[in-house]
Amino acid sequence: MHASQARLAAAANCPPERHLAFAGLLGGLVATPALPVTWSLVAEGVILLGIVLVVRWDRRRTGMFINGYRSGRTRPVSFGMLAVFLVLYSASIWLARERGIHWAPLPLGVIAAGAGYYASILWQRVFRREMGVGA
Amino acid sequence: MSVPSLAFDPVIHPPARLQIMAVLATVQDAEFAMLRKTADISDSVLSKHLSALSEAGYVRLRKAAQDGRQRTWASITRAGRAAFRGHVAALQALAGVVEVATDEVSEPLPVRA
Repeated sequence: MHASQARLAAAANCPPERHLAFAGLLGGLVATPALPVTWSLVAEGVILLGIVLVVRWDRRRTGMFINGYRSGRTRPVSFGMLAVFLVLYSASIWLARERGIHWAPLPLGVIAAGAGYYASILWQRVFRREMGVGA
Repeated sequence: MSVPSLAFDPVIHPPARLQIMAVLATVQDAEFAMLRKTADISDSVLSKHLSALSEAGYVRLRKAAQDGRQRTWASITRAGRAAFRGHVAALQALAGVVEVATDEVSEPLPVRA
């Protein structure tokens, strides 16, 4: 059972471009309030489509899909990242729409992308350890 | 030494099925070829095990087209997850009982004067 989990962890190994794709989608979502409302909705639609494409890419590349919010040791990483995302996204909307600082979502998007990249690598490391494979 | 009642599940118990269930309990779904590679078994053996697990209601199978070919995807059901957890807990409990028994046997006998 442990051997098959170790093989699973090896198969689930993400290339750097997969971490970058996740980071880009997260950063993009936080940065969308920099655009006028109509265009920000269009951009959010494109990003949602990007999420669908990343899921499809995962399935094609690995022959499986692992839910990021699965129960296990990776869950605190996922919920931690979700909390960071919600704070940054809320701040982005508030600064752009309420305070009129339209450029503010851009640096927040960069921060979100950085946090997303780090969280994606951390998630994989924790997953591999949970499956009994060294980080 | 008492042995607790153990929830062994004969459907899950064969090693290959345990491996399949261990993978499916971790992922949302997995493709047939990936399962075959992970469990290190042949197509026909995997097919038989998946059918047995599906008949027991532990695994859900679906067909989906990818790259112009029909592929089989498997996912664990709620009943399957519960049965797998129960079975693994029973194995761990049994391993614990064996460990205690081994410790008792390996204790040195008291020396009498």
